[in-house]
Amino acid sequence: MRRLPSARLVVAAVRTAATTALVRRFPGAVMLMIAMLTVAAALTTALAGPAQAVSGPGPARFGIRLVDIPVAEADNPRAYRYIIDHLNPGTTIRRRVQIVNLSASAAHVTVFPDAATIRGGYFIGDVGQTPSDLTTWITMSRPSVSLAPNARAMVTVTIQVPRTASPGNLYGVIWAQETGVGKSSNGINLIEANRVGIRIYLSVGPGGPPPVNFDITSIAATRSARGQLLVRAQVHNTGGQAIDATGTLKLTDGPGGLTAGPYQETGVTLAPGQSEPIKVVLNKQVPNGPWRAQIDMTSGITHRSAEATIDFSPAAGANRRYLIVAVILIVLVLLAGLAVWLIRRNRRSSPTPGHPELMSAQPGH
Amino acid sequence: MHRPLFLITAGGVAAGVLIIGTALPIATALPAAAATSGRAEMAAPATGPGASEGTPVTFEVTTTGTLGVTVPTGPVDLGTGAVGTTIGIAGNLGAVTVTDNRALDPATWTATVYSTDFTNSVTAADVIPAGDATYLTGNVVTTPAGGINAVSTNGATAIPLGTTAPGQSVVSESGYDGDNSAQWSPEIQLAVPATAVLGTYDATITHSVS
Repeated sequence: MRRLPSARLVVAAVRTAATTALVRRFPGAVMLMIAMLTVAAALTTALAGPAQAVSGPGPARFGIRLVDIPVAEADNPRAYRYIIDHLNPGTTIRRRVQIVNLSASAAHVTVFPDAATIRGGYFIGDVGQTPSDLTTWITMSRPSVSLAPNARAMVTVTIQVPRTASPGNLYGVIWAQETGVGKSSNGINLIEANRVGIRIYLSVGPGGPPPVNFDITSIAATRSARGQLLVRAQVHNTGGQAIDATGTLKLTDGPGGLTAGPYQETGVTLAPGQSEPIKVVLNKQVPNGPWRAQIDMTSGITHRSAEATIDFSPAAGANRRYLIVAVILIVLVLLAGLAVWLIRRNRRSSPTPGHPELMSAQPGH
Repeated sequence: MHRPLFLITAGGVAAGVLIIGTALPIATALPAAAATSGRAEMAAPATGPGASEGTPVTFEVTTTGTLGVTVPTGPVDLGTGAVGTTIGIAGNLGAVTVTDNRALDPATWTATVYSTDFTNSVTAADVIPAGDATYLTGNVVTTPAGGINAVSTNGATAIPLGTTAPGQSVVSESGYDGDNSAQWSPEIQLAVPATAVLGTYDATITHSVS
């Protein structure tokens, strides 16, 4: 039984051979088939053409956007992307999301809340429709929307924080999902599901929101074995809320007064207490330095920056270590040489006390 | 011509005055692309902390741009393979396109991927673990070119498609100023285990963008 997959490969090979034989025996029939297929393809293109023009260029897509934003967060760019709020226990909020069908065909989109975690510097929605404390507080005005080509629909997300909720930070996502349909073929198949979502960063507790704070704790320059220049900086979330920090690196005071950048960093998402590195890859042609590196990072309306002197010289630190070792060795060799010379000089110049006695003793014998 | 930026639809007069007083100066800080219309909401004023605490009051952003992803196609046939062999070719899953038309700065998003196990369509107890499959992002083509573009988070390394973790990031856009788009054609490879039983296997692979 277990060998059969390879048997099936043989079947596939046989089928190809049979098709080739068919082509040889009935060339006319094959030509007719090709002609029919060509006409069918042309018709399909002609029918699909106008509809595609309506949907605009690019592949068929579907999308989501956040519609309602708290007035208190109006100056916070993160609030335009995500549902971000601090809520006292017993509070209820409503936010609408809009689902858009950007394709020439009708679409069936499911809309549901899912748990999420912040790990390794990324915000990651959980597998499938994973429940969490937060998802049990969420109700959707409808579980799915059926959309005509290029149609839009609103879905209201209601988050009801129970009076008994413990203080803390909760994360989740409202997903809009489409799943590929069709019959699987014989063999190994992947059914595709694509989803786009609005993240939820919710802080629950009495009083006002916890502070937003983060630090850039170190900046280091490295050069990979392939000669690629990399600047790494460690970002530490020292506040009471999650952050989405993005920013830039600028190099100044370089060789000959050169400046370089600003370069975009890979962003980082951190829960309170988490610390992860951000990276900036630089062009190999950037001189080794030393440079004054300045990193500016922003999460929402909170800005932080840090400065350090960095150097991309290959193994600059190791060179210095070799130098120290070499100096110590030279000093040791010199000291040893000096000691040997002193001993020899001592032996040669100082009168050996035994000799005269020996000499004087000899005549006495 | 000047539409009111906010209308109070619930709540007392005193609260309303307070909200208008605080809301208008804030509204001037909105990005130009994010036009506002006359809608505000008092969510559950009876149970909420009250309008003066701010959070239940919202305004509506009327921009039409969304964060979008390609509509998935039908099942992708990875092919057939003998036990102990690896199947899968470059670009076999088709292109995944993420389009961010939200007119935001920074326009940040992360795409993650996970897969269920491959289940035998006849005998569901026979599974090929998702961890036997790998995902190679490949080149990420970004539009517009230049600027701060989306990058593959795993570089040229293929990652295993296990389900033990919630999912893994594959492509990340960390701060483009404005609309942007990224497309990649991943390569899925499956090492057919020596213990696999003959049959048709299905797994669901999910791309998530947020």
